[in-house]
Amino acid sequence: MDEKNTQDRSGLDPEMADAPQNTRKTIKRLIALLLEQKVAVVLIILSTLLSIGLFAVTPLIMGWAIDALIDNLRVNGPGGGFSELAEIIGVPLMLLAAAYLLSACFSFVQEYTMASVGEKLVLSLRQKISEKITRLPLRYYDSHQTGDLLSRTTNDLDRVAEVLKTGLLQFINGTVNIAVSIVVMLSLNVFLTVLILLAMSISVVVTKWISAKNFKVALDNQSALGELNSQIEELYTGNLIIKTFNRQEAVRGTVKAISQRQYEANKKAQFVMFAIYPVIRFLTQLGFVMTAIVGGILVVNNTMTIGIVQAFLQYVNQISEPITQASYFLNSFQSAMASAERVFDVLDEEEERPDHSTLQELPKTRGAVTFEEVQFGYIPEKMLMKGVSLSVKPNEMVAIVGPTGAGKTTLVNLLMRFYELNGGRILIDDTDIQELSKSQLRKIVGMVLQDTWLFNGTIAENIAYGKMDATREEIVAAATASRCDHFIRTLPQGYDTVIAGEDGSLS
Amino acid sequence: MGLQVAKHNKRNQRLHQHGCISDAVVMTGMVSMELVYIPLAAMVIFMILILVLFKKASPVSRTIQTRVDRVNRIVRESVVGVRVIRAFDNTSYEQKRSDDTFVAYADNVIHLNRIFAMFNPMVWAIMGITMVAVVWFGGYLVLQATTQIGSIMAVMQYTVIILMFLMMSAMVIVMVPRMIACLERISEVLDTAPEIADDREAVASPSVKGSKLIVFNDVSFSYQGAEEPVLRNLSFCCEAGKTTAIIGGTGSGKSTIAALMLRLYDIQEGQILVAGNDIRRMTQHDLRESISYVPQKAFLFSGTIAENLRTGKPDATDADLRQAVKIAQAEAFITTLEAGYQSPVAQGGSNFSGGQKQRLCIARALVKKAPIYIFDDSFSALDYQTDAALRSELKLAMKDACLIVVAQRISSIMDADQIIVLDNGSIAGIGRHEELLRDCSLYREIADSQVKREG
Ligand SMILES: Nc1ncnc2c1ncn2[C@@H]1O[C@H](COP(=O)(O)OP(=O)(O)OP(=O)(O)O)[C@@H](O)[C@H]1O
Ligand SMILES: Nc1ncnc2c1ncn2[C@@H]1O[C@H](COP(=O)(O)OP(=O)(O)OP(=O)(O)O)[C@@H](O)[C@H]1O
Ligand SMILES: [Mg+2]
Ligand SMILES: [Mg+2]
Repeated sequence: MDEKNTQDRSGLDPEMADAPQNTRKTIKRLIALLLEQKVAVVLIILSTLLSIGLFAVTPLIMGWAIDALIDNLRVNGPGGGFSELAEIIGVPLMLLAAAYLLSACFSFVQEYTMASVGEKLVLSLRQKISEKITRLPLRYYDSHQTGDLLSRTTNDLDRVAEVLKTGLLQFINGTVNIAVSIVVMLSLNVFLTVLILLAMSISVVVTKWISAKNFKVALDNQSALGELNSQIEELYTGNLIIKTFNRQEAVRGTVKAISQRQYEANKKAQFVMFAIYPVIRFLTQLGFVMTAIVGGILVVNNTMTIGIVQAFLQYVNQISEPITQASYFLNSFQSAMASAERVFDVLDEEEERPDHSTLQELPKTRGAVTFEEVQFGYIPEKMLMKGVSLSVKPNEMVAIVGPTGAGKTTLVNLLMRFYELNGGRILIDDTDIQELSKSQLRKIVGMVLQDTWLFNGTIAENIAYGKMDATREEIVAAATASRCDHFIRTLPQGYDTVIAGEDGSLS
Repeated sequence: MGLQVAKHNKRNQRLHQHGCISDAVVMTGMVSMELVYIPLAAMVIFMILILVLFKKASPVSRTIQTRVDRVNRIVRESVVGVRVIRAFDNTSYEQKRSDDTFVAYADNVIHLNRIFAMFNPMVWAIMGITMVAVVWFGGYLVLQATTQIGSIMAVMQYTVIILMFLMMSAMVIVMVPRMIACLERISEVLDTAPEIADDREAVASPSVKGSKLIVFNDVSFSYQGAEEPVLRNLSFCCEAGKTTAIIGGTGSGKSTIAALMLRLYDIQEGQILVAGNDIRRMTQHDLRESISYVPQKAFLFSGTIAENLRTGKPDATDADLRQAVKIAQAEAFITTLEAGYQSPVAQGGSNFSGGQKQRLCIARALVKKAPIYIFDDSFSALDYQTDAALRSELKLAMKDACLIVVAQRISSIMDADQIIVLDNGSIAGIGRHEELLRDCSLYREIADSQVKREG
């Protein structure tokens, strides 16, 4: 609720977190992931080259056709029908149609393949994160917001997918397009090409400047958005308190303020686009105008044919679009890199100490528990337990009593290895719990948590949570033991009543 | 999220349009009346193409939104429920559940992407054929000497422009199904009428008449959709300066009574009066201003301890906080914290023990200072000593307040002025401890079982 906290919550410190700090490393990692789909990547690159290559020669063929037409006019004068026409430009036009269609086919191959590449990559990242969620130490959850982790797994990854899908394609197409066009143009007329490139470089500079400016604004927008998410997530959970403490007005105020900030940032971002885009467009069109004028002069001087000028005009069109779009691509690319980085951050978090279970089989437990000189603190500087020793014999029912906050729940947390010890050992029978895998350990120990928490699902599913294959009889037996059989049967659908996660429909 | 994307794309595309299409068509017509049909035909074909794609994509984009929801929910549950999942060693089951959800979502997106993969190539093909057609027919016109060669080139440029802009507007159009889905979901939330609305002629300022602060008159209530009422014909009153305790088995309706006092639900029969007014005739704000509530489930907001304590009264002074914390027996542990009242509270208060959370919630209610206090099973996580100390301090400090205490432990409520014994939604007995021991068999049973267990 205060400044410092709000930033923690969103995980988006505008200065630090979202600005890609290590873009190169992030890109490398993404590329490594991309290469896991080698076949698809190769297919995409090949089809792109073919498709753009074919597309890039079309102006040439077109120029050829037009020149043929002009030559014919010059030699034979006007006159003639479709059959004459077919003789003059039939071949180039057929080639032209073929080139266009083939190019379209390859482009389809490219897009179709690309449709799944980005999504698959993001899917694997998403799976990795969710796996990570199961391996992060509880300590991590004590200091991080649910909303933040949530937004990394959903929003951030979606942003990466979006850029991989559209942005990458645009980028590949644009680059190949520009490269091929420039090569062809250079081979046609160096002087005119250089002139065009000079005219266009102005717009590149402007684009770069805008994109830098816009990126900052876009960052503000995202961080406001992240904050909004975290806030809403918490307000939703704390709804009862907000209502009963008459906080609705205040909460509305907070949410409104953040929304307002997001709105302003978004408006600013849009303004930058709207105000400057026409300028870029105008600048790129300079190339077009210049080609027309210079080309016209060259034609008059007989150093160039009209067909070639036509080809040049088409090339200019072809490369100006990717250049104007570059600023958008740069923006979305940068923010996607920031998102990817946030995801990698989670993936790089230190994990729970890995199992080094030496025992293959689940040992038959008698159920003796021994704490030996256990030392532990949630905060390392502040030890909560300094040498706790106790032992519980099998079949003994032990009540841990103590004033609140003494560390009863902590003892259980340690036994379950939710947190790692700072010293000492815990033994079950005579085995150090470190030697058991967490899964073995948690199968041996059953517990009821102090904070009740239920899943979305039916009551039966929730009771059976510890044992997925439990039969209905076992479920009922467990319910009877915890004295809730009767009350469950009074519910409309008995054991199949659906309960919503964490909500208040059960007492 | 979807809206965001749509908006973003639209921004890119809208820039290009500005009547360019009509300009280009007009220009073509001016250049050559005969050739104008070719780009027009291309436009028609293009529109048909978009229509087909739109039809195919619509259902897919709609399901995407629900899949997104599911992904969100699954991830949220696996984070919020991390302790339960680990305690029950269900990691692999959870993992499978989320994997399935993610795969379903990805499949859906890929499916949509593939539909649109057709789009660009088709446009290219249409454009190519149009070009060829323009040169072919244009060439004929040139041979017939009705058109100049420059016109062909101009028409070609215009054709490119027309198709480019159509393509861009199409990209906006394809976002429409998803946008509609988003909008529907938003309006679904917005259109949900609040269940409980303030009476338009609400009593302006509730006047406190007499000492009967809360009166239940023959109240019956059932939750929506439930067959049986949870509460049946309850009648009792709670007086200022007195403590009313409610005891009863789990699920007997204790928390429901508290919720009704706060008008979190509207009753179906009977009447509830607070400070002499029917609560349906008061504004919710006024009603809740006069009640200070400690919920059964201790919930804290992330932030600092002080911020949490000030929830009900943002302008409370430090002295107010200290006083409340002292009564709530939370002073000792707060002072051991390095940052004291400024100590951070993690989301859901997970960095405090169960009892600490509960005491902070009590302190939060005390800071609010209202004539009525409801404690819903708020001493359950406290040890007996702390419980006793808290209650005696509470009694001292809240001499004039009306206290309502829900509890499971007889010891917590023995000295209440009035104890209501609840049995499955109806009152099994009302009275003081000794009277109930004598007259109410259910109460005696509860007392016996606890004395035996704790003796
Ligand atoms: N996740 C955590 N991070 C930091 N401190 C914690 C965390 N969990 C508990 N503590 C602190 O450790 C101490 C012991 O907490 P614990 O939950 O073990 O108490 P308890 O004996 O179970 O109390 P109660 O009876 O109230 O449930 C408390 O002071 C608490 O504030
Ligand atoms: N929001 C709800 N929607 C539907 N039914 C509910 C809802 N809240 C509670 N119930 C049902 O109403 C009954 C009474 O619940 P209530 O929470 O009042 O019990 P309680 O006496 O407070 O129990 P406990 O001591 O366990 O807290 C229960 O059967 C419960 O399942
Ligand atoms: Mg505890
Ligand atoms: Mg309750």
